[in-house]
Amino acid sequence: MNCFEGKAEISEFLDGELADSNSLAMKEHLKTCSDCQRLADEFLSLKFDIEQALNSIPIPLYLEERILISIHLEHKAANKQAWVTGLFLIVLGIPILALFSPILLSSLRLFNKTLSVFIHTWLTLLTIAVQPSLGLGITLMLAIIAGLGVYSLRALLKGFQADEVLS
Amino acid sequence: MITTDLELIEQVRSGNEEAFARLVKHYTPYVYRTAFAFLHDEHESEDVAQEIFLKVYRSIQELQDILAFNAWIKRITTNSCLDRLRKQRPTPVPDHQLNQIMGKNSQKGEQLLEIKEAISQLIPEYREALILREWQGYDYQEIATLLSIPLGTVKSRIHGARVRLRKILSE
Ligand SMILES: [Zn+2]
Repeated sequence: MNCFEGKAEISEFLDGELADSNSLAMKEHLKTCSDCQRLADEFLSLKFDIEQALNSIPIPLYLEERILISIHLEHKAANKQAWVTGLFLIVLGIPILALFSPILLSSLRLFNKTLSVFIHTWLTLLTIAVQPSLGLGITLMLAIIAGLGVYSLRALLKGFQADEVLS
Repeated sequence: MITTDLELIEQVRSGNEEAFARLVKHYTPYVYRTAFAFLHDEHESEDVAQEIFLKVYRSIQELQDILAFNAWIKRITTNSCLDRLRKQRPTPVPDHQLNQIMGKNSQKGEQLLEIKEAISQLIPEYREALILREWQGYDYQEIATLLSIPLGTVKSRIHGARVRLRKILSE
């Protein structure tokens, strides 16, 4: 390694960025070249001085307090924004609801009708097929199973959200 | 950088406001000094420091591994400072405030002041590479990624910054 190369690679050497073989060659070079050795020493002390100099940068008085206040204000503003947005959506929602209310009403009526027909058919089928008391038992059991299904689905969804937050 | 207090981080994550205040107190010197090292302007540095802690406040829940908190806040700090630096350019700010603030009498203070002034005199490309290396402790590959520049450029900037700094200090 000649001296020109040595000087250019001194930074890499000091930062541990030289490949092993080059690093070894640099060590050998530093033993014989006082110029490069002096430069290496100066760079090393510069490293230390820079850290010390930056660590002596004075912190403005009450900076932490100002940071906390600004975050608090920002947080409050975000909350207010959420409220305003919610209110805005409701206000906007009313006319839309009014506009679509006939459609909504008719679909509700349709749903109601379908449900009553469904229940009626179910009851008729039950009374024809089995005794009334047994029919009631089957209905109750189905209702419990459906309830458990909804509950476990909710629990599953909740667990999923919690996992997402924790990860 | 400072060591992480895991219990404190957990408390902050559970929404403890008082713990967050302690966290801010703990990390403000590091965050502010890093900002100042990059930006060399008191107001800008304070502004960026506020921005950084706001990001921490908003996204600490998303931190996957609390053991990595130091690396995480270091990355937020670095990115925020570099972003601000991009917006700030091209207006090199000479740091006249330092004269009033730092070491009026002590010899050590004088010397540190001299180094800080020398750093502020570096061209921005040299300064940011040098601070990322010497203060933030990133390796060359990480610096190349952070600045979106080739590895060879990182090498020449860091070495160039040291040579230049040495020359300014010897003048
Ligand atoms: Zn040499």
